[in-house]
Amino acid sequence: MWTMVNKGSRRSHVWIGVGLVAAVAFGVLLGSSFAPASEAAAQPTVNFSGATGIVLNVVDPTKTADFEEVMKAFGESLVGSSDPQRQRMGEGLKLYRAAETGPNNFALYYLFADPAVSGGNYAVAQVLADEYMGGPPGNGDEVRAIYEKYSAALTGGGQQTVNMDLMLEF
Amino acid sequence: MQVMTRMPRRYRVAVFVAVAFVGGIGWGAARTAAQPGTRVFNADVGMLVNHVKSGQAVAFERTMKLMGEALALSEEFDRRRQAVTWKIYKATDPLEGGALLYISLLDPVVPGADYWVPQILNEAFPTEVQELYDTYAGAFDKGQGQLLMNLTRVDLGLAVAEP
Repeated sequence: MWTMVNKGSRRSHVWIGVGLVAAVAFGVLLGSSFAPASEAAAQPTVNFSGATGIVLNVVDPTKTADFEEVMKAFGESLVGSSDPQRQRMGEGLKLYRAAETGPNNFALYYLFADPAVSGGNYAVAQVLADEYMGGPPGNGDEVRAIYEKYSAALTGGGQQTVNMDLMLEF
Repeated sequence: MQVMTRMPRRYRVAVFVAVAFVGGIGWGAARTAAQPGTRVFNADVGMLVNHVKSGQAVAFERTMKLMGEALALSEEFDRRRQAVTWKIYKATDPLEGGALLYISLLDPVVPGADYWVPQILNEAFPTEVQELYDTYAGAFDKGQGQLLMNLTRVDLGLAVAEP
């Protein structure tokens, strides 16, 4: 006959197992929602075909401040651009950080482009190269420095874009 | 239980691991709309990631529209506030395996409010709720279901100055 201690121990084993499986399931679920992470940091072109675009960013948890700095530079570069299309892109941009973490404790950031500007290129590296700190030719060093932060923040994680349409608002 | 007691320890451990594995799978599978409970966010912004079976888009969308009506017509002020900031997006392409991705963005959430759809439907359509619940729960892709995320806005410094 089992003692209460044995039963408690069994329960704790079960819950540890459940916790492990749940952690794996959570990561798999997140990953499967947005397909495999890509090396999008270096992509020259990021377009959205839907009315709304979402970019899931899986970020090194030790580099979240760098990532947020880059995203602020990205947003400011867009709204400060002399190109009306890029200004519109900036106006529809929202960034959210999830309290829940992804695999390996990586931070999850969701960038919403709502509405997404049709034909607009949302590639962070390209926008920074064109617009950051007044644009070329004087911004080379600054762009290289900020791009390195961006790339390092996504190393081991990645990025995935999803095209969405607004189905319903009440 | 007596059988377990007679088992050698290593076999018992193996059984425990198997039970944990099956329990974990069951737990994961239960993270669907069919799981009774609450959907309360503890952050300023909430997101519900819904994986819907291929072929169930119409049923899911119809249920969500009814839920929106239930919120908008509710006598409770907080329920009506929930409707105002609830947007539902649908991915233009199915996921690998064919499931459809719907994302609900609640920005901002109503603090302390329960976003569990069957409960909202129950308040407005108590006599039809079982059928609505079955339709709603049956629309979710098995094993993936629904994921709740608590989000915080990151200030991008994009606020446009008032004229």
